[in-house]
Amino acid sequence: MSYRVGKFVAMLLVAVVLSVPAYAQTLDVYSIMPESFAVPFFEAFEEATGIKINFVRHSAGEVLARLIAEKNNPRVSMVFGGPADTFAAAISEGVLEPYVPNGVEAIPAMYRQPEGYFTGIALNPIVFLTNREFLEENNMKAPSSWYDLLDPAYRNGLQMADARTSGTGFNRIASIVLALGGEDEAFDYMAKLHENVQVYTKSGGGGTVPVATRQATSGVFFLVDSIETASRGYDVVISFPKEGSVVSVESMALVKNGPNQDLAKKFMDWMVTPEAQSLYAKNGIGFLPVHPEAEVSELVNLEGANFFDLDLEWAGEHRQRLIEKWVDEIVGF
Amino acid sequence: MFAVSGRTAAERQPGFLKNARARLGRYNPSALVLGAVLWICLGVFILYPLYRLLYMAFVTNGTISFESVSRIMSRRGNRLAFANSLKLGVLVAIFATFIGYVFAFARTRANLPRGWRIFIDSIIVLPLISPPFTLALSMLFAFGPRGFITYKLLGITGSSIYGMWSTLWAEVLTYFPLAYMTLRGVLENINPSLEENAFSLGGSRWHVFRTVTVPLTIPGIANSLLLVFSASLADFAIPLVLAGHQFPVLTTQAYLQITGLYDLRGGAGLSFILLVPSLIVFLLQRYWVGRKSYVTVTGKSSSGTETALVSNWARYALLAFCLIVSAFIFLLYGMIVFGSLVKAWGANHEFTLANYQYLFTHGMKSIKDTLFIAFIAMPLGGLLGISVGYLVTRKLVPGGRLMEFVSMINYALPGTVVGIAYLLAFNDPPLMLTGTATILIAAYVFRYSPTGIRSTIATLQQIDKSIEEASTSLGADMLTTMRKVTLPLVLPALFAGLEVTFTRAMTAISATIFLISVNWTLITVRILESATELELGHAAAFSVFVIAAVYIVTNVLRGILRLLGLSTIQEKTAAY
Repeated sequence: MSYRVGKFVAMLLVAVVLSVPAYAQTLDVYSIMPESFAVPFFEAFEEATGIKINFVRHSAGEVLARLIAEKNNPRVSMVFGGPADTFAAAISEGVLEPYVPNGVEAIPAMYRQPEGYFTGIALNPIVFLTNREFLEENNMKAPSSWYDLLDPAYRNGLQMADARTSGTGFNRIASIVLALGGEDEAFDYMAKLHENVQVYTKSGGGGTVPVATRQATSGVFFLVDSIETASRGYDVVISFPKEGSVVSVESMALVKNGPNQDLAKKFMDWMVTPEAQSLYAKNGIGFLPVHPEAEVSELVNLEGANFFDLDLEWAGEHRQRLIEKWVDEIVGF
Repeated sequence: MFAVSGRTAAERQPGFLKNARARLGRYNPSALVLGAVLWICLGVFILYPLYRLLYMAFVTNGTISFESVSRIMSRRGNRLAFANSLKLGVLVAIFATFIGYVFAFARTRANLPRGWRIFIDSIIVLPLISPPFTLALSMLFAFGPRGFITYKLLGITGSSIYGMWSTLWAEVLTYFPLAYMTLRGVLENINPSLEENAFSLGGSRWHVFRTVTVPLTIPGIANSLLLVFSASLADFAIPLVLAGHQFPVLTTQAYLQITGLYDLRGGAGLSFILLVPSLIVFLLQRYWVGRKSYVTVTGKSSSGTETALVSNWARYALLAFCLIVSAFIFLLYGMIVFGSLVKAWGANHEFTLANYQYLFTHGMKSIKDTLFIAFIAMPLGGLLGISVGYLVTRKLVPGGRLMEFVSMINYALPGTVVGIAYLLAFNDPPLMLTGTATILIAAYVFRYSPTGIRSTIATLQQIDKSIEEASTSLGADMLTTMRKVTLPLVLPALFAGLEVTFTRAMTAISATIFLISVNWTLITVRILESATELELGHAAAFSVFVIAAVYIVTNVLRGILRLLGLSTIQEKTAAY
C-alpha cells in the first residue's frame, strides 16, 4: 500500500515540478511565416541583441485559434508573419495589443494598421505556379488570366489552399472577387474552377511541390512559396493573372497581456529597419520588403503584374462570410 | 494505507466483512482506496475537460441550448461527414479484422517456417510504430498522378488519389496490426485439444474451423472490430492527407471548424456527435461478448500435441497472402527511408545526409522533449492500465463497468477534441497546465491506457478466479495475492500497456497538436509542419527516427519480459 501511495506522491511531485514553465530572457513567438523564412530573422536578431527567440510555427488559422483559446493566459508575446487579414480577424477577437514600432514612419502607411494593432513586414502577392513540362507537352503558355485555369487540360490538376486553414486561400478568394468585378461573377467562376481542382491543401504552399513534381499541374499560391519551389531547382513557371490579384501584407503584432512585452517591442523595432528588411534578399526569400530602402531579391520578377491592395476593413468585415460561402457553395458543404 | 487492525488474514477476506458495514463493506478496503484514487484521476483528466467541452458546445450565454449542434447538423457537409465517418469506420474495421484474422491464423495454425514468421512479425509492427501520416504520404507518392506504382510502373496517367478508397486502404494497413495482435492472442490461447478432438471425431477441417475455432475467437473478433472502428473514427491524420474535399469526415471537419473558422463551439458540437457511435459500439460489445465464457487458461494441464488443422495448399495460400501484404507495406516504408536520404523527394534524387543533420541540430529540441514525455507517460500509462483492468475484472469496486467506460472516453474521442478540451480546461484556474509537459503527459496517459486496460481485462478474463482464490484461501491478503499471483500473469498485459503508451506518445499528433507550446514541442508536429512546408526530406528523416526509436524501445521491453522468464503478451495471452 505504501509503495502505491509513494508512487502517487512521486507522480504528484513530478506533475508539480513540470508545471513550472520555463522562463528566461527569451522571446516566445508564434510564427505563421514558415520556419525556413523566419529563422534567418530570429538568428539575426539574436546576434544583434543577444535575445533568444523561442518559436512554434503554425498556419494562420491555427495560430488564431490558439490565441483565442489562450486569451486568459497568453503563452507568447508576439505573432510573426502571416497575412494581414488574419490579424484583422484577431483584432475583433481582442487578442492583440497595439504597438507602434520606433522608426515605422519610413514604411508606407497602407502597410500599417491605423491604430498600430499590427505592422506590415513584407509584401506577398498571389500568383500562378505551373509545371513547365506539362505546358510544353500540351503546347500551352503559362496561365496569364484567371480564366486560363478553366481550361479542360487542367482537369484534376490544380492544387490550392483550403480557405478554412490557410491565409493564402482567403487572399485567393479576395483576389478573384476584386479581379472579376464582384461576388456573383467570382463565385460563378470558382464553381467552374472547382471542377479542375484535385485537392485543397491545408497550408498555403502545400500545393507547390505537387506542382513541381507534376502530381499536380498548376495552382494559385503566394509568391514567396512559389519562388521557394522554383529556387530549389524544380522546373516551374511563375505567372500573373492580367485581371489582377491581391498583394497580401505579411505582418507582425503584439499579443495582448503577453509575457516579456519589452522584448517583443525590441524585436518589432528592429524588424522595421532597412537592415532587417534587407534580409529577405540576402537569404533568397521571395518576399518583397515593405521598407522602400531595403534591398529587393533578384528572384522577384514582377514584370507585367497587376496587383490590388487588400482593403483590410473590407477584409475584416467579409472574411468569415466569404469563407463560409466558399465552403457551402464551392466545396459543396 | 491502513492501520493494523488486529484481525487475522482469514478475517480480512471480503466474505467476513459483509455484515460489518453497508454495501461498501462487501469490498476490500485497499481496493476501495485504489478505486477512489483512480476515480479522482479519471475525474480530473477525463471528466472535467469533457465537461468544459460540453459546456462550450451546449451552453450559450448561460443557458443550455442545442442551437450550436443543430446549426452544425443543418449543414449538409457535416451530415455527410458524419455518414462518411461511420461508413469508413465500419469498412476499415471489417477489412482490417479480416486481414488480421488471416495473419493471426497463419501465424498460429499454419506451422510457418521460422524465417517467414520473423519476417511477418517485423513487418506487422511497422504501421504501429510510425506516425500515421507517413503511410499516407507514402501512398501519395506511390499512387498519385505521378505515383511510383500508378505512373512509373503501370503507366496510368491522371489517377486520382484523394478520396475514400485511398483513405480506407491507408487506414486498413495502419490498423490491421491491432486486429492481428488481438486475434493472435486469442487464437493462441485456445486449448488445441478442443480442435484436435473435433478433428479426430471426423469433422472436416473447414467444419472444425467453422464450429470450434471461430466461435471461440468471437471475443477476439469483437474486440478487434471495436478497436479498429474506434481507431478509424478518431483518425485525423490520414484523412487530412488523403481524403481531400471529396470525402469529409468528422475529425477533419472538427479540426477545420476550429482552426479555420475559429468556431470552437461548432467544433465542440461536432466532437460530441462523434462520441455517440463510439458509445453505441462499446455497449454492443459489452452485451455480445459478455454473455459467453471463454476461460481456457484454467490451470489444468492439457496435452500439447500439434494439430494438422491446416492442409498444405491452405498453408501456401495463407503464406502468399501474408507475404503480398507485408511486401506492400515494406515498399511503402522503403519509400520513406529513400525520401529521407535524397535532396528533394520527387525531383532531385541525389544522396544526402543533410536531412539527418537538420534532425540532430534544429530538430534536437523536439526529440528531447518527445522522448522525455514519452518515457514519463509510459510507466504511468501502464500502471493506470493494470490498476483499472484489475479492479474492473475482479469486481473489486462498485461501478467497475462505469470506470472502464469512463477510462475509454478519451480514447474514443477524436484527438483534436481531447486537445481542445484540455486547452479549454487547463488554461484557466483551478488547474493551469497549458504550456507544460504535464498536460502532454496526461493527454497521452489517459488517452492510451485503454489498450492496457483491455489487455489486462482480456488476460484476466482468461484466467480463472480459482487461481487467486487458491492464494487467498491459503491466507494471503488481496495485495499479496495481486503481487505474487496475479501480477506475474498480468505482467505481459502491463508491458503491452507500456509499449502502447510509449509508441503512441512518440507517434500521436491529433490530440497534442493543440497542447504543444513554445516550451514543449513534439516530433510528430514537426513532421506535419515540415510536410506542409514542403520540407519532405525533413519529414521523412523525422519519421525514420521515430520508427527506429519506437522499434528499439519496444524490443527492449519485450527482451526484459523474456529475461524475466515470461512470454510477451503477443506470445501467451489475449492482447489488447
